[in-house]
Amino acid sequence: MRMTTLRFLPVLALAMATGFAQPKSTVPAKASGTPVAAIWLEFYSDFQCPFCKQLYEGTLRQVIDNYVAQKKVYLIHRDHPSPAHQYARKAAGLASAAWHVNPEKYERVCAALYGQQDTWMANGRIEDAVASVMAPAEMQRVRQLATDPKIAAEVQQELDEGIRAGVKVIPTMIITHGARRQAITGTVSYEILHKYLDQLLSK
Amino acid sequence: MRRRWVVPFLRILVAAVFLFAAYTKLRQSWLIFAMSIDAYGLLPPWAVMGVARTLPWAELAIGVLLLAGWGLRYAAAAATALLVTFFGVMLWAYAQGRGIDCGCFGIGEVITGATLMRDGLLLVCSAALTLAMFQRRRTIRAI
Repeated sequence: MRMTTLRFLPVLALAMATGFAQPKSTVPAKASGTPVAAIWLEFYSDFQCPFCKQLYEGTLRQVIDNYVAQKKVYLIHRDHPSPAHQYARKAAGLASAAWHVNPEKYERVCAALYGQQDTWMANGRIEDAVASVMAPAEMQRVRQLATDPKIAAEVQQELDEGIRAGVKVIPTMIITHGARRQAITGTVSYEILHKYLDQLLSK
Repeated sequence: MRRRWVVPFLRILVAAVFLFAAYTKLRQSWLIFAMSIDAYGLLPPWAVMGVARTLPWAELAIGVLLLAGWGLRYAAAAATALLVTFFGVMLWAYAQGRGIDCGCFGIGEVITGATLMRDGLLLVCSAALTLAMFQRRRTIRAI
């Protein structure tokens, strides 16, 4: 009995190290970094939301450079399109399709969608923002895939899972470190978020 | 007779709310509260950190003073001043469509019409207590 317990100890340790308490989703994670990072940061957002743009450009870009690239944080994008935003679902669908076509470029697609938000919100041409990052052949596949009901279902499923996880507003970040999950809503400046991440990493 | 209970009731109510608010903030990392304040987008980061470190202690002090009955006029006036500020910034954030936590009792409470109503009611109670405290002093002086 004792031996059996001991045999499972390495498995348990590995499970804890790789995020035993991390939320499980059936939707493939559109993520940057490594899942063995000490902190998981789930970013629930909507590409048409101005506060999400502010959080992504003002804060998360620096988190990507200073924490995700250093394998300290695993950043997961979770689509949470608001029904109040006309293009939010289409943008989420195109971004998800881009992830399926070339996951390596997903972060650049997000940056382009937020960076050109004002333009496509005015003219409705969301594809142009995605096309500014993807190669023409890739973009053709993105267009085909974006119309696939499977992509729309994935966006809906991610939205439903977000609601079940307690996400009420966007942007919301759920920061998981060990067994502790902390939801942070709204736009938070990098100066403060990085102190919090450092505090978690020092534990 | 009925009026005799109003002031102690208001005092205990406001004190309990302030003590609970302080407790919920002090039991977690001050940086979590700092992120709640930061989400309002009203203060620069250095000011946010200053407020996050001091406000829970100020709430605790006000709660203790109200409960103990020391410096009641000042404690009630300070509570009202703080509640006016909180209510004002919450109303501003709500009108702006910022989907953020109110930061009232730790984290996880998004600003809604209900939270505004609750804080508005608390503000009325605190203002009534302050008024009663100052009126009582004037009455004592007149005697």
